[in-house]
Amino acid sequence: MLSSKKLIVLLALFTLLIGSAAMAQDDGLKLTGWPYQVDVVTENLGRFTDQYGWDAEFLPFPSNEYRDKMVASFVAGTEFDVAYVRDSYLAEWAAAGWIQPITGLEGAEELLADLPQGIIDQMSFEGEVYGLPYYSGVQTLAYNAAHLEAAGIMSPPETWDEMLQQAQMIKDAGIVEYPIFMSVRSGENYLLREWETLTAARGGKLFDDDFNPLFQEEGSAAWEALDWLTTGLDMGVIDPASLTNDDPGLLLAAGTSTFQTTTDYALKAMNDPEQSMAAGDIKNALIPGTDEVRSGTWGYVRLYAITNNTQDKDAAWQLVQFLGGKDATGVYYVPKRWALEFGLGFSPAPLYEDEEVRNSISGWIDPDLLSEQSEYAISRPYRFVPYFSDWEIGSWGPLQAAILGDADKGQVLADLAEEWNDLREEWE
Amino acid sequence: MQADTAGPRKEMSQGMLAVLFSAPAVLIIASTILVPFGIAVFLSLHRWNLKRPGREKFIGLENYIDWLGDSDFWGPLQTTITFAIGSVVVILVVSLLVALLLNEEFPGRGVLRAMLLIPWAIPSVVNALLWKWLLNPQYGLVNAVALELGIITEYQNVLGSMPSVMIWLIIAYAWIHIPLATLLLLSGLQTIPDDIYESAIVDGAGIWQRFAFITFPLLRPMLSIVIIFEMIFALKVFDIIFVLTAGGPANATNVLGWQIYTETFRKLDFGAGSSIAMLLGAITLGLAIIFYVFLDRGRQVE
Repeated sequence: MLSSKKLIVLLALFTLLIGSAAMAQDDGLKLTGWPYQVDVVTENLGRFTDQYGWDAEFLPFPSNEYRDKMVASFVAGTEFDVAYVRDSYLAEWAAAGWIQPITGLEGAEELLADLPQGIIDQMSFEGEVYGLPYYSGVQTLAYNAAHLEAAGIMSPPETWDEMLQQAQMIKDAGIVEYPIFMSVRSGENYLLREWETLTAARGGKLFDDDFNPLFQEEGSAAWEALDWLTTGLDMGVIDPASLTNDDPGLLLAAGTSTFQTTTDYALKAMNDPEQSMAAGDIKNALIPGTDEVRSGTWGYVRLYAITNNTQDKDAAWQLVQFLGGKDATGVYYVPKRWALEFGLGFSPAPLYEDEEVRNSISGWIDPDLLSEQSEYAISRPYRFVPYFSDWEIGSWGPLQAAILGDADKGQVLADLAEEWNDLREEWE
Repeated sequence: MQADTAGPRKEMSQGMLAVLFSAPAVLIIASTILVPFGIAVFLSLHRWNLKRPGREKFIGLENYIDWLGDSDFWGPLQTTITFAIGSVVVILVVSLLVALLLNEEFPGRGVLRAMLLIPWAIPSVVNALLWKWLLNPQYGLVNAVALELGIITEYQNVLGSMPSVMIWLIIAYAWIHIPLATLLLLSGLQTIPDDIYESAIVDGAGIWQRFAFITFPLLRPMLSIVIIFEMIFALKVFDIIFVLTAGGPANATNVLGWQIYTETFRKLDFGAGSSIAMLLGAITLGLAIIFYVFLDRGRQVE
């Protein structure tokens, strides 16, 4: 026989179990993404509930594991209604049928008419648009102006060779041990993106417009980019932690790094005294080039998409419109809030005319230089084939080995080109 | 006659009772181990890529054959074995020394034994995050201490190159596994009767002789168990790799556990991922059997 105390404990446990199961049965809309400014997202969802009457909650996954966790969720049939999507795996998710196109949905045409065609292209797969933008922007150069001044350098580097020279001067002056940080860590947001930046800024591309690899050709911009990384590491001016560190922005904010390529919006936090010891010193400049090429970069877009597991597509579409488009009052409330408070890049044309937005941006970044930087942006259509991520994942180890000098560059690049062609043949 | 029939009937009901009592455990084991295992075997015999829905196909042993001819299997296998051997050696040596120490009578022994459990109580991912902070090349405590002691002249990125990345990975991994091994060895040490040592001391045996001719032979069964356990754990390593190195730099720490994760959850190729998981399972099981046979032979000799 159970004693009365044990019975009470058992009943309490049973009640907890039933209660938690009931809580888990909440039937509001579920938004998932990476945990950037969770409080703000939650506040925005509160406004959505007030305006439209649907409950909505934010259930984020860690940024670096976002793709993997989402894939597991899709496969398991977890009922998220709306998800953040990075353009780099849009094709993969769309091809697998995990997200739904918004083309043809009521109100879509009007919102898309406010967006530049380049952004629409980056949100599309096989002729269908898959969402509305969360934020967008370009990769640019961030540098610590105080370090340059202390080393007697008058202006940021215009070429990659000049960057190495300036870095050596800064190192020799004892200002920073490793002035340059290049994100060449394994992972989807690191090595390939940095290689693309370095290649674009030498006037090259990894693939041609027909998706044929170009990087394996000796003397190509991509090859020279890897050589430059090796040289910088050997000189001791590129931080060896470039191969492992997953949050380089902290180094600029701490004043222990001088040069980094970074997303444009990151400069806002770097120049915020509450978040950065180097606030006010971090400036943007054009990404360096060569004697023949002034600069080069690429653009990106993050979007809100409706998942295939949603139980209420109309409500999910309403949420996507609220988050990436206009709210019930007809204004771009959420995109404007991200731009004003966090510096996230926006795409809707009306926001470019918004005086409040324009004034806010100029406080932490040079908008003219940023605008000039975006003119050098190249397109990366090869990222929109579903086998790109397979190839990218397999490239990290060999590319790191080539950069470190542990493997022959030519052989590594030839093998990667062959791997690409094999995957392409398999998929097509 | 009644007495004869009553006996077996009672035994039957006890047997049924045993089945009933063990049924929940059997059901849980079946649903959490056997069913996933069966699904993994099924997937390993198929071409099953989540990015290509509707194109699943039975291909027999093709996934296995592909792996056995692929450097993406043999490279990680070599790394896994290097890691496993290094880890087991470090764990065994340190835990044996700690167990010998804790087997002695001294003030505060109880507190030390309790403290030993702290690393073991920490979730392995938290342990990995702890070491990530300790080894940080900009502000890590390990760098700060080494610099203060004059061991290094500038901060090092120990996770950025070989062999330092493998050495520190083994240290970080061993740190959390040493407590279990120590407890097992300590329990083995406490089964050795004191009078054997007393007789040896009377016969003039020194510390080393007592260890070599009494402690070590009598501790061998427990040492074998520790080796088997730790070897199995180390071969399956994943979480510390996930947090600290992500298989890098340049694939230097790409163990089979990481390769399985990459194939399955990054490339979304569940067929290839499941087959390499089966191969790892077979290797682990094979090694466990070999060790078990050695252990059993040792017991028979004794």
